[in-house]
Amino acid sequence: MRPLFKLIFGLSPVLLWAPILACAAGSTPHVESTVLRNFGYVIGDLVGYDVLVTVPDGYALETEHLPVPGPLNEWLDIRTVNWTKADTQGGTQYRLRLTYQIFKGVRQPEKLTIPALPIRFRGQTQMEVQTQPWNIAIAPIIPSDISDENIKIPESVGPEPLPIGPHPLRFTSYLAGALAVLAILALRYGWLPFFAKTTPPFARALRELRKLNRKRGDVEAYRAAVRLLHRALDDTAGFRLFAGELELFLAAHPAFAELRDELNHFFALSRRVFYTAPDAPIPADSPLERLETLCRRCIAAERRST
Amino acid sequence: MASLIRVWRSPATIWSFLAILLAGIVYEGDAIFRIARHNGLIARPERIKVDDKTPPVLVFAKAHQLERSGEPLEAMRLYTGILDRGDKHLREQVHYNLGTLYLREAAELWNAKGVLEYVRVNTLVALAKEQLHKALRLNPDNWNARINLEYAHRITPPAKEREKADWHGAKSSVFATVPTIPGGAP
Repeated sequence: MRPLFKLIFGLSPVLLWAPILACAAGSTPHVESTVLRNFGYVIGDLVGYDVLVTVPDGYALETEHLPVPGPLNEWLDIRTVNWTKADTQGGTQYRLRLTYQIFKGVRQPEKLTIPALPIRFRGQTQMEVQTQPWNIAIAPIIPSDISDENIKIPESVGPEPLPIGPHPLRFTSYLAGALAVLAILALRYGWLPFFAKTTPPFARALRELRKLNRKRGDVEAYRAAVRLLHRALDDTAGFRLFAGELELFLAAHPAFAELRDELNHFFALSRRVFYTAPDAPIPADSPLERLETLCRRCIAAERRST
Repeated sequence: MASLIRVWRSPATIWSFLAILLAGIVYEGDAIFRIARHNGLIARPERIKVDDKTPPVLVFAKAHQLERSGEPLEAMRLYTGILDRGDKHLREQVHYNLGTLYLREAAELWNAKGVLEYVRVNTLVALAKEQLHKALRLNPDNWNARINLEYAHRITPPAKEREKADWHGAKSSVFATVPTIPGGAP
């Protein structure tokens, strides 16, 4: 009984501290570092350094205390500092990617020590871990057996011609677009004789109607407008179109079918203006504006049919 | 859809479109003209007149021409004026050329007179290193800058030791050595 009591009594401090030690072990951050290689560097080289820190839940990286890119000492710069976070079962993993640049000039291969960096975490308490200082081997670029007097300094660089870039392509595109738009406008407004011939009949008629619109109250102008519409209908039909042949025309040009009533009204109006009552004033129910509207609708039908 | 077609067919749309295209032609034409003019001057840098409005690329061309024609001080002045201007590539070139210019001056002095020109060599090498550092920060693949920077480190004069005082006076105070007025003087 006594040896057992002694054993329990002897182990009691351990048994008492065990849970506390276990907790402490759980709250210890784990630091792992990876380097691509630690040899074969020369002046100006970039050196990558990965640090994987696992911290218990509830701790967060103090980003404001991360090293800032810039000179670290006279021969070493920190170029980039990037980090990512991943939640794992054991806690939170922070992966830090540091890139250094070496500016140490040497005559013989040398060993350099990249200093340790502190990384802080914020949680219930503040926690700080240190990356391991690590050594790299650096070699000279200029062979060491060449004396200083015999080294030829590389020449300074001359100016390069400015690249013309995408400007010619853009210029050509804008020019082609502008020419295309000008061609469309010429077609629409009949600016060129070549285009005038190809302007559809009702488009031509509308242009003339606009000119007649200035003499709105003039009976002769009104008659001229009716004649213009007749001519456009004739040109579209391909023959002189009379009221009796309207159905034939509509069958050949179905796009105009929805204008059947309007066209019948137009032929009736034409009959009245030229034959039934040639001396009568402009009919109140069909002013020049109505003829213009009909012409516009015919243009729309004309476009649909092409 | 019909309203879209109406908008597309309206004269205002097509005229606006034409105006945009014409503006594009003017803008791109001006850019092509400017680039062609600058390239002409880069090919003949002696025709470049540098003032406050001169684009940094032309100042760089002029500085390089001066450097080649044996006017390093004027070249340094022009390079220094455009250190923080232009794009990243141009800044790298300016830092490299300026660093190389300082280094060449330092190397000539170092190889000709050695430590006798300690102060000037040290100053020029420090300036060269600073500029070459900056060039390498902008482009770590600039191997000429690496070589020049390593060479700058090679010719960096060793730290000058402070001269020791060679006064070996036996008296405890300098005041005791000051002669007094001789007795019997008027």
